[in-house]
Amino acid sequence: MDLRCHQLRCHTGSFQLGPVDFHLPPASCLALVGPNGSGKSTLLRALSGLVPSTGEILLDEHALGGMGTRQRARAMCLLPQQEEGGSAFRVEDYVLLGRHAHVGLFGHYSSHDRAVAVEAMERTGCLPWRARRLDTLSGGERQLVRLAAALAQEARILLLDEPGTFLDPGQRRRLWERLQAARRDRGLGLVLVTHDVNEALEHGDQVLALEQGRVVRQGAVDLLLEADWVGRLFQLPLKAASVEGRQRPLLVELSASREGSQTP
Amino acid sequence: MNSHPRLILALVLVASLAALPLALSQGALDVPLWQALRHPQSADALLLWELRLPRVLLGWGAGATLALAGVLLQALFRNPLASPYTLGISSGAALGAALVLATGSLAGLAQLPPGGVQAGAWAGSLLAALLVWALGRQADRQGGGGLLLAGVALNFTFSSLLLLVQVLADPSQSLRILRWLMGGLDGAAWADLPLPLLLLAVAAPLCWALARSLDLLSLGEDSAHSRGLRVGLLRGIIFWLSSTLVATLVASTGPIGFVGLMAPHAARLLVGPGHRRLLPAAMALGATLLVLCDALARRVIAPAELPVGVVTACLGGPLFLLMLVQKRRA
Repeated sequence: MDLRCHQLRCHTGSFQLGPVDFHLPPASCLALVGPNGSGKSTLLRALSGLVPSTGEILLDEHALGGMGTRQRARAMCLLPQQEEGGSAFRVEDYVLLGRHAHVGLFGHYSSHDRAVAVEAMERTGCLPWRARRLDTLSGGERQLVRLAAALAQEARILLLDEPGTFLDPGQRRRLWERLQAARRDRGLGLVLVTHDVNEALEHGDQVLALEQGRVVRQGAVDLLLEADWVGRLFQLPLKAASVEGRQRPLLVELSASREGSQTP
Repeated sequence: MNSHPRLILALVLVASLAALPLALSQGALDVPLWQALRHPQSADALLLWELRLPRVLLGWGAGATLALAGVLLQALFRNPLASPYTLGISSGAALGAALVLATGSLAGLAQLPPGGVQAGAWAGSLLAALLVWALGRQADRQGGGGLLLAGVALNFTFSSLLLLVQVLADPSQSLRILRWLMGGLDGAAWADLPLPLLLLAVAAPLCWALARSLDLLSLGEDSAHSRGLRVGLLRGIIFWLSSTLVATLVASTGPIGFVGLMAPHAARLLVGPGHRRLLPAAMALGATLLVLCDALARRVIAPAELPVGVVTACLGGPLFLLMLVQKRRA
């Protein structure tokens, strides 16, 4: 699915976001970066219809504003950083809730719905825990279950709000392996909000940088290797450094040397 | 959650039905049910049909209704401490009823017109619901949680006004108001049954049909919306449905405490958080609890009676604490 955003603006309280323009082709990943309060999450919420916006959001040339809530959910799914509730649900029941946009008025699950949920759990490695409650799982396992529910929803675009925040490096790696597999096999498009520039570099195709609600840079993700502007954005001295065995260099912070921090 | 939720649900449903004959036979006078059925002209039969049966049925319906409203409001606010009385609808009803009782006495009426207190309670609930909805929506536009804040604030306001009415009323009316506030099923007649039971018969299947949507709402509004739920519509349905249920019930029984808080909790522990099972289990537990508490209220100081609200609160408090301790241990 193709996502286009044209002159998107959004007002929440005294905060103004936009104008934002971008084009996300199928199976690609757009990384939204910027310091805290720059409007990344607001943009994600505007895309998912949670906050009102002006301008155009087009999904395969269809305006998002003209779609019903269910139709939109079949196209796009938000994976929040954390969820407020639901921890007492069993994994399987939770993943089945992802089928809401596909089931009838009374919420009856067909055998197809159940098969889709099982497949989503299989793809994300959650099947062994299907009978366990969410609150008995680790943060990483829970995030995989949320991903399974998103895959069960069969949305074509996933909006990820800092998906790795509460995960250890291993859990983050495993989450990204599943996400990349879904991109490859299903043509899943990703809009990724992240504070981690290296996560954006590794997984993104395009980058869109925000500062105080305005777009300051956008383009191919390699833009992030120009350490000067990224450093200015986060008010940090950064440098791109190549690491053997990695496709792309990493951005590393220069000032955090131990000797430096001890200097009065 | 139990590992056999279906079996537990079936047992809870059976228990709620089994509580009916038990409660029918118990009271200041014990009524042997079989004898009363065999001799329809006897005093026992008269007691059973004209007094005990409508009272027990109203108690059964009231318990189920309170539990249903409790489940709905706990889902709406994603807060296990929400109860049918959180939104101030019952305080509005209490204020309306108290005003009728107090002004009737001031106007020198020896006896209030039939249904006067109920009408006052109804008007008070309606006013409260309209105010909570309007203020809550206004506050929601400036940030989340407006409905809950408006409900809690108005609850306090109505409760303070109620105290004022009680202080200003003459002592006998003040005592009547206090008695009404304890809630009770005494004096229940067949004529009191159709409206609450009909409403319950409409609301319960409707809520059951919305069970998956209630499940989604419990995940949080962002997640629910993202999965295709029309959150605003569901919130409106829950608010007005639970308000109507509470207003109708409080007008006929007064505010009976704890059932609407405890039954959903107990049901959640027994059958899990999924509303397809939670709704019937909570309603059955609420019905059982209220019917049995009312039987106890009739017996404890027989031939006098305790208000059932006092019994539910006395039993409910410790039971609730026990459940919380056991949950923590589990």
